[in-house]
Amino acid sequence: MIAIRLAHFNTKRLLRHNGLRMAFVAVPLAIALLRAAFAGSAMLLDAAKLCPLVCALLVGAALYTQWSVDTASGMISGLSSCPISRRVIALSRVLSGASILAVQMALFASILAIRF
Amino acid sequence: MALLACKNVSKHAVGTWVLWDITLEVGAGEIVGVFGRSGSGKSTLASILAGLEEPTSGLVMIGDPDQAKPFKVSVAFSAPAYAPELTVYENLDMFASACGMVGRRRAKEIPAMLERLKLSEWRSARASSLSSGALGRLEIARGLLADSPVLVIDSLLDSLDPAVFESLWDYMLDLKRSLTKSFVILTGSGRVAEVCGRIAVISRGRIGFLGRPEDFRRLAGEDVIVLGDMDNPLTRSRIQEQLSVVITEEDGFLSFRVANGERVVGELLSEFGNEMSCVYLKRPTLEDALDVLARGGSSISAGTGGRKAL
Repeated sequence: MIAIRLAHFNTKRLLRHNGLRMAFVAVPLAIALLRAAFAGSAMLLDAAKLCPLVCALLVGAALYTQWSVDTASGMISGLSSCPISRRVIALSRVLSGASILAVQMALFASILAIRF
Repeated sequence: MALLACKNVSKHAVGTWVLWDITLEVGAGEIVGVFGRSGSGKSTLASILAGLEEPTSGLVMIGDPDQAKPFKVSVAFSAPAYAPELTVYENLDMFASACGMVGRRRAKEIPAMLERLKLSEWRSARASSLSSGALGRLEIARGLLADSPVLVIDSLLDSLDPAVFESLWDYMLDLKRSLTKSFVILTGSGRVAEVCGRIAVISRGRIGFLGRPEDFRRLAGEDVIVLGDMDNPLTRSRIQEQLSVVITEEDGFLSFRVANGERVVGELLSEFGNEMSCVYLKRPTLEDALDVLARGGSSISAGTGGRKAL
């Protein structure tokens, strides 16, 4: 339960960076639109299959950078002085990444589902 | 029974002994000050007490052996730990959640804590927009919200507004009286050390004094009374005779040392008040005593050790 609460706050933190928020939306949106626009292109169809991987890499990079910054700023130490382990903190970060990825995939799938 | 105890804790880092043979106990409902200059090893001690760093030798014992449940020592760091993207309220909400505080209690305690530390007006402001003073208060609030029976506050009280300090101190005394929390106050300020029940004075990584602040102040010597211009030159010898003191002249001022300055000033004013322009009482501060302690040198060497939860 604590990991879920922390994941909620962490998702908020990530989404409050304008550039990051734009990137989270833009990547699946751009790939889905390209695939829909050039539905006849076999190469684009294959390339679109990489969308989950690209999104996962983007989210992973954001989480890694955030963890590094938080470690340097003492935020992780601050959280560690609460009665929770670093594993719970790491789990919360993974959960927040997974929730962002899920929304990205939902966005990707919903655009593909639209019949242009 | 001690809630937190360091036994012969030493720490070697960057080719030097940052702490040497620190032995300190904190009992339930106690406010212990660790008083020392910047660079004396206070923050390293805070990290060791919080379990964030291992001592090179010695033991840190946390908890009462009679209590089944061990706990983590909560620390309010001198460099505040906060999420800059979240608001002040969200930061406290996040840390309180991490400490396992349930929703209803969070909704009650966080606003009260914000009020106590005069942070209510910044409740919805992003933490990144706060001044360093307000961030320090946010860090203290975070530490106080943690359920741990021991809170270590690293140098954050030194720069507090007197009004905020007073309100916070009253709250801490309430927690102390109810035995809810014990505090270890790391400070470089004599004003803060003065109000602690017991202080450990740390100089060059070692504890040079452990006891009551008033006893430590005596290390700096007696009170000094400075006398203003005296119209009658005989007054000086009459004061010397009556009070059995030696009056010396320095930088054009007459002064002498006595044990109980306040009482002597009263006597002087009643007896010789008409014969001098002013009397000034200078009491030695804890900083003066720290200067005296720091003048003594030390040399150190060490062994191996670890950390233990009772």
